[in-house]
Amino acid sequence: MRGWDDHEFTPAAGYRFHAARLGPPGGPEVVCLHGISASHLHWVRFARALAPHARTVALDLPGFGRTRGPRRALDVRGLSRALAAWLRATDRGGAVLVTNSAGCQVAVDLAVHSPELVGPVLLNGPTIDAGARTVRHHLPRVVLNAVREPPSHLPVVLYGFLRSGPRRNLRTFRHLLHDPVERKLGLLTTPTVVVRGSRDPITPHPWVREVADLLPDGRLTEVPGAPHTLNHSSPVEMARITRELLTRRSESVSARAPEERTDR
Amino acid sequence: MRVRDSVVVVTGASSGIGRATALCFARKGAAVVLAARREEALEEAARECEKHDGAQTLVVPTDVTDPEAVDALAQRAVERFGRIDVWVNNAAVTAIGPFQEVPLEDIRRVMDVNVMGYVYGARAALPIMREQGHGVLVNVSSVVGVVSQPYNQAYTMSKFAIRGLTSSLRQELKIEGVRGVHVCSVLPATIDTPFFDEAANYSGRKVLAMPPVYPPERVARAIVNMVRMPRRETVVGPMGRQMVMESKMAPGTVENTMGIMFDRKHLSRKEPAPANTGNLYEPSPDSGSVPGGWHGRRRTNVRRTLTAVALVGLVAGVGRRMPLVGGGRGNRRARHVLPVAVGAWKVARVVKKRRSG
Repeated sequence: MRGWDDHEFTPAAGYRFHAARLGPPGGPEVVCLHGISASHLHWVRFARALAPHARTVALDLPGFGRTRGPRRALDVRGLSRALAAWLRATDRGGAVLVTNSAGCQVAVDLAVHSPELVGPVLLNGPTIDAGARTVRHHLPRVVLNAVREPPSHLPVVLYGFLRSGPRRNLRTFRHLLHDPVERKLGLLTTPTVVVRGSRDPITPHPWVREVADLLPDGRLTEVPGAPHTLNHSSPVEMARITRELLTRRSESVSARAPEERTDR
Repeated sequence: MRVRDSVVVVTGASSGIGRATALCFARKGAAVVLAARREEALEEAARECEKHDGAQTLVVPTDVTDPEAVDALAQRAVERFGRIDVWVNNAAVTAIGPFQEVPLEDIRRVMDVNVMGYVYGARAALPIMREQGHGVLVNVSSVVGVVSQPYNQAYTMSKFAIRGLTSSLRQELKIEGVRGVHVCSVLPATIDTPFFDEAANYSGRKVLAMPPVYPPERVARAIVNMVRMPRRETVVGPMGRQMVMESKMAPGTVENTMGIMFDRKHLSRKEPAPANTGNLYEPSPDSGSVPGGWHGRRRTNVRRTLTAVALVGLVAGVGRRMPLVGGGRGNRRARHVLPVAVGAWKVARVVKKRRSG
């Protein structure tokens, strides 16, 4: 796909993971997790905004984008275990995780079984609103959000949807609905910023406020006027918050004992 | 630029023009970051803002003379809302008195707040706006930034300096080809705010608001319009605009007039006032308000009515002389309109004088 510097393919946990990269090699890296019906393409704008400061690695989760998945859609735990395997295989444990929508659930689940791999996290539009755990509740919200997203978002979503297919998306969505994300948030102890667009119908303000309050080290940023997918509609703001997390990470790494750093 | 959903930082938002501006932006659907020294006053202003369709607000108590505090203000705004679209430098103080009698410390403090405060604000806001590629920095100067005032040296210097800073920044951005970032100044005339009561005063006379007094909402509207359609400079209040224009043609005359006006109308000839530092070092203890009790709105309405009456009188008078315009030769009643209008105007003036004492 156009816009990226290069693509890397890594075998891990039985999948051939695809990740697109953009930004200066050798610098700090940021790992991006897309949501449902999405792919690495969602991160092009964000990666461009962040490129002067850090390298973006936009991962395709199994079954999405250019990473082939199993026939049956993976549940949240399956996705997060695949992510853990990839992070170990590429030695990216502790990198800043920038996640969008369903990707947030995967990142939170990662903190449950592999906390050592989790670095600072940016949760953009963390699903699923615990007060609306049904397809019936969510469908109108998704449609409303599609209207509010900029028109350039449509081809990106279409690509993501076609690569993963309707069946997989529906199945994954069911898994997402049944994922008790609010009970796991307390385990995400790294510095976390929750970001929400003020015109996002999918993750309403009270829910996102609750998420930020449940996190041990959480903060809420609300970008006025933006819809659900901020990495596409407000990449500059997202990149700015990510940079702040990068500095916080480098502070915590330098504060750690040197021998601890070498064995990571 | 669109005002709805923009992120606006206002300094000096606890009272007067700043508070009116914050309210006006909130009403238009912007997210407002309120900064000033008084936290309680800010909280109250924020509550007023939130009445408008649940506008988002953030209160950051800040002393603009502290560069680190101003940086932290920008940081807090970005942390909460992700960006800064508009920065309004507005916080200002004044010290009034004969040149030799105003303490040097006070003059320095006025410059610190009015000039350096704006410098810190611009330094905090512009890098963020440059990175975004868009943004409007509004510096509130004054008509005093064009026409100087006696016994008000520090304030006059600071307001001239602000216009210089604004213009210089504009040139810099232009040369560097930064097209989306605008730097503008707003020049209000006398505005009905608590400013005059809170001024440091060594003149021995009570500080009054020099007429004509305009309501602060008018400045707020001008600032919002500045964001919608950025321009170099705008004057708020027709009298102010007139003075600014006249000062370009006859600077000496305007300077003299302003001097005399200040002595007669800005400082009371009846009420004495003890020497005091006003709100220079400590903010006033109340919880802040938009108007300062100078009846800006009422006075504007009276002025408008009188102008309308005078205009009607003029038209009627002209009509009586020239049948083509109106009235006609046969219209006997029209003959009385002009004298009646002039009479009404005179009566209104007397009444106004009596009331203002």
